[in-house]
Amino acid sequence: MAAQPGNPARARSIDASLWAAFRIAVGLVFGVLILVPLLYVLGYGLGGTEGSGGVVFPDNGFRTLELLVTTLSVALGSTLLAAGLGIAAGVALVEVPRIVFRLLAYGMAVSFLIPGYVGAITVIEVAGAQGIATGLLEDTFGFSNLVPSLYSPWGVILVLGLTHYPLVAVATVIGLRRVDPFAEEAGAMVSSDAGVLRRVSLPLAAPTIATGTLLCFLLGLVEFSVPSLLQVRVFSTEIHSKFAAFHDVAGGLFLSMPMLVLGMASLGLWRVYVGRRSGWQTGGFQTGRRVPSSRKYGALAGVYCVGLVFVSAIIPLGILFWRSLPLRSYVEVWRTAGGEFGMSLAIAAATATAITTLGFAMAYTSTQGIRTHGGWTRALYSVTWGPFLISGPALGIALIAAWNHMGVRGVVYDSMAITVLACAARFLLIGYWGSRTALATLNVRAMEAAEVCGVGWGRRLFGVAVPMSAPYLLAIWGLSFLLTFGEVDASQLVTPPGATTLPVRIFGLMHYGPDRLVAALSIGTAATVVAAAIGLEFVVRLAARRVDVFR
Amino acid sequence: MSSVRGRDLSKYFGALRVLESFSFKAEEGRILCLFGASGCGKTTLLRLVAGLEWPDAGAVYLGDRIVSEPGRVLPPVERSVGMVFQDFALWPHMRVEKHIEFVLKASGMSKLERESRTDFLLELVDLENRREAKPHDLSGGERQRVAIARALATDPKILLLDEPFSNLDGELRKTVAEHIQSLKAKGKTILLATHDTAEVERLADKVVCMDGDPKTQ
Repeated sequence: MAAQPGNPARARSIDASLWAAFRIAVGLVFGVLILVPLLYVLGYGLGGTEGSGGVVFPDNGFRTLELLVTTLSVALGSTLLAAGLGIAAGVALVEVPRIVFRLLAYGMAVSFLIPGYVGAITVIEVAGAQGIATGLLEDTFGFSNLVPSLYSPWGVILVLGLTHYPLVAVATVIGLRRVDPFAEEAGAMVSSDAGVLRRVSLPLAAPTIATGTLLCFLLGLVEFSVPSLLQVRVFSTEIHSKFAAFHDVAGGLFLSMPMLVLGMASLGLWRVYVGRRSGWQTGGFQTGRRVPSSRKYGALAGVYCVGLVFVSAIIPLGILFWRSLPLRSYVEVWRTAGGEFGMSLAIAAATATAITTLGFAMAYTSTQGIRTHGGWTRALYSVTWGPFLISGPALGIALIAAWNHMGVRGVVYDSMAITVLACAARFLLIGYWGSRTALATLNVRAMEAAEVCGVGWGRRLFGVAVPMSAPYLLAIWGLSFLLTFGEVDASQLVTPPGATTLPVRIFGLMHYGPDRLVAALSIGTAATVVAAAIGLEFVVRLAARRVDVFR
Repeated sequence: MSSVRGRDLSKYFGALRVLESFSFKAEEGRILCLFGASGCGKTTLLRLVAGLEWPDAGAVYLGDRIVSEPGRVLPPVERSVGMVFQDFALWPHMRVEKHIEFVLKASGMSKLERESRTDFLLELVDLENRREAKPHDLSGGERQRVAIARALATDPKILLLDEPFSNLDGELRKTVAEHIQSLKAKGKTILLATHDTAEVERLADKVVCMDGDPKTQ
């Protein structure tokens, strides 16, 4: 019958050695990318060198408290706004017909994918000193009250709320579609549509909605570019100032500690909240809510969603486009910033590839070894949240402290590789947690079947896990690409002189005031992001069809 | 050499006791039926034998060799057992023939040997004309036969079958039962988990009744 391999014992021994080497290699890369900058943050921030604790607490306690209050106000305010808009949008999206749903979902995705600073630029174009609304108010009523309120936490809350609400909307749609339809039907026997939604559907979808809301809070907590442009002092902008103006590494890194603590605490609370409710939803997706809507709300839902897309995406982009005219601005932009555009694409592609590869390798090693070393590996890899939670500027400073040395580190530091490192460290959590989710969604038995059939770890990885996860991996790559393409928080500190990226260029120009070139650059960024998102969505759907994921 | 034995096996999932001091023995070349209602621990027992779960107490023997005991478990990949999962666990991105070829390639066979073995197995389960199909294009019975062919690919001496009749209609049940009988005739040791009394009567050389109460198993 079946022929046996030449020396099975030797083959198994080699297989086991390669598996150990693979795990060690993954751990080493993780250490260099994530642990090294975090150790610098903790070492400098808590080490008590001149200017760290001293600057923050004894002499400037009130100032630090003010920063904490402003940062929390911005994070909580933008989260509340995003949650209010997003939950309503999610509920409304479930009510509209499928074709309209897709169009509206695209519109909302545009709001989220366009970098926050482009949104801030738009708000400045509308309500800044030279803005359209300001001019109108002055011409009509002789005053312009919008201006002072724009350059305040309220302005930041407005921009971030309108940028982040799609996260909550998506979470709400997913949550509602995973509600057990029979639970809704049971509710419909004793209550109206609205009653079922309020008392059954939304409470059951709450854990998923909480996840989207948590992400909004964390994004608001560490946001740098929007408060910086709107001149609001929060922890991230203060960290940047400390380094850029005074080269105060320790003081800057110490200020990242409150964000790290707040971020970890909110993650812990989320875990407790969601953990108790993990069995509330079904594993699969329903195509729509089971309880038939009376359709009387369908038109209202559609109008609300269209209005939201207009306010958050179409009007801002229209205003930017109008500001960028005449069209020769685009020729000029291409001539002067074509290099930066290409550099941004290359860096985003390299970073997304690194994030996807390393994230999946980490997830695979931690889940495959679940019977032996899985526990501590997964605990260690949870640290991927760290570089994100300390904020982009703090990560940039830590990377400068870690890599700005002679030798090999200097070679990396003097090249664009440092920008790739910064972006990869910041967004690796997408790769790791996305891959964990992908592997958890797979039919576990399919992996086990390969194991029982005698298929070694390498073939299981490349022959089963990777192809079956392909749609998720492409989605992770795409999201990492889009976020890196717009990243400015860390890269504006670490990008070496001589070459730069498009966001860094836009951000630099913005400090001299918005003009038609900035508007044209922003439109170029937005157009690239939207085109890439549409292309990626198409590819992800193709891959999903191939492995039968969404059937 | 290919008998399977469990001695005083216990398995807990948190506070849930699935198996408690459970012992069994499947003789070489015989069919041992694990009979009981859903949730009584049949699948868990098969997974312990496959090495996919670790026992909390007791030991699993393949022949005279201990392959599982608390803290020391031979990985599934090294056990040379075949398993047909209840939900078949097919690989959705692979065509039927690729399922078999993938396993054979991992065992180090040459291309010619693989082709010949694949043809043989597809003929055995009557799927020669479906070799290019993907799992989602197959009926429940066809998927089951792919899973059986895959489990037989490396010619294991021990076969673990988890509810092999649950997705089959009358005629196919008969065919699959005949396949299982023919596998027994070739000297395979078979552990078959089922809740169907008719299949137990038709196939079992020995029956272990599992009533779900760890104390009385």
